[in-house]
Amino acid sequence: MTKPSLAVETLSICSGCEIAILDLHLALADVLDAIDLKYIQVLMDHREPPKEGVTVGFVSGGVRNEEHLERLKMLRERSQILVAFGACSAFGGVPGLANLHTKDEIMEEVYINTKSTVNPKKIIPPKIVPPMLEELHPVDDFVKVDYVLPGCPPPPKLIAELVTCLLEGREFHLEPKTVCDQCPLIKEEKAVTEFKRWGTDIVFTERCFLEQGYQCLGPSTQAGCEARCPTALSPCRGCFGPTENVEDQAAKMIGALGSIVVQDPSKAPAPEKIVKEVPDLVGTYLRFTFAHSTFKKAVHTPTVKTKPMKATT
Amino acid sequence: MTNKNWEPKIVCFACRWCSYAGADMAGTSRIQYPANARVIRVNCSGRVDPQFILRALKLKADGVLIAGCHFGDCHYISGNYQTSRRVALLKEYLKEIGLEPERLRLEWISAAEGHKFAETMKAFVNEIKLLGPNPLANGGPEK
Ligand code: SF4
Ligand code: SF4
Ligand code: SF4
Ligand code: FES
Repeated sequence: MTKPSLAVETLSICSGCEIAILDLHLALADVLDAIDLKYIQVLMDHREPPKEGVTVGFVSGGVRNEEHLERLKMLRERSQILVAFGACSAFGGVPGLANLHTKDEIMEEVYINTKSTVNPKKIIPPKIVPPMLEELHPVDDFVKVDYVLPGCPPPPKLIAELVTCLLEGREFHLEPKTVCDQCPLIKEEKAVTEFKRWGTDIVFTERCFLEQGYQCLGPSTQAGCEARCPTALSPCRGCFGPTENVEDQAAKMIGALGSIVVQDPSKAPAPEKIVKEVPDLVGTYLRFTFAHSTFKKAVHTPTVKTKPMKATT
Repeated sequence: MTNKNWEPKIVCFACRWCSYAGADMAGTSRIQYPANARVIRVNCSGRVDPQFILRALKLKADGVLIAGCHFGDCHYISGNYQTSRRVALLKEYLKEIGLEPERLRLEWISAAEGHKFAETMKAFVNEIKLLGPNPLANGGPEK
């Protein structure tokens, strides 16, 4: 019997996801025994996945330019099972925050405005590189995805679990739980009187960070990482994305934030104060999932505004 | 271009214990108010999941009004306090992604305040008319 084959395609990424595969360490030897690795750019010198196709395709990274899109479609055609591998691929990841700006704004900022740039002729990139799309897209904007393996990057243990499931022909799925459900920190009472930025005050390392007023995205984030950040004494930043059936991770977090404040109105911080205590709301609550949120990108109103209508009573 | 006959579409989430009854009161007392709102009854303003609000705006509602019990009157004690925090954060969210925060409005209206319900609706409709259609509606409302 021929071994199942695997191709790993790399789009708009930092390569952390590929390194996570290598991080399987000794388990990698077992995986390589069981699977025929046909294509992975960080390890092998091929240009594309094999024409005859593979059993499983992993795609890491979001789709930012036309080349990415082409490569994604090619991998989809050539794979029986396609896995969105990592937060960038599944939700756009951190690069998805660029969707707060238009493509032109980004180009201008990068090629003209940055302090370290000398570009007196204001030349915007040469045409020989693949043209950028208007936005960064998660892969499911374009192709059908069979499995999602979230995380920035996905934890090696889950990678091994997914591979085992695929080898044994079992379904892979994450439990419908949140990071909080797996978090070992002590949850006592939801009675926050003030939200604070991490590092600006004492942190009790055994107690839930959110209950101490620090932004921890546990309640709005899909479980699966075994709460690796809170366990390592750092708040969850939400890299597993929202739980199933939740569209917008920020909506979930805002919902949670409403209810963890102390009940006694005389002790509760005013709503406006809370807003000030959450600087960069989109960057905090949708750090990995802005490109996969309800709006997916900023609403860019054209600069020439139509005259407002006269109000009638 | 704003269509001359454009009328704002407003989604109103009204708490059944107060504002929904307030809206009824406005109706039974025959107080006139603009017919722009689709009123959705909820059990408490605190039941309005932030996702509902985002979804309404994404689906091109021009404005979203949340109406609940006055502080101290919420049947679930703290539902309206929670809502006040969520709405403040949601407004900030809208601002950051380039939607006018004024499209989201929170009001406390009791069951006896039919008049206030009507006034609120009038004022909100006017404000939204000044803002124009939801920018996601591509310059014109759907028919
Ligand atoms: S998900 Fe994280 S580790 Fe993977 S490519 Fe994106 S930024 Fe890198
Ligand atoms: S909010 Fe954070 S620290 Fe608290 S239980 Fe959830 S994951 Fe753990
Ligand atoms: S705790 Fe949160 S940020 Fe950390 S790995 Fe898990 S999901 Fe990602
Ligand atoms: S019951 Fe009316 S706002 Fe809670």
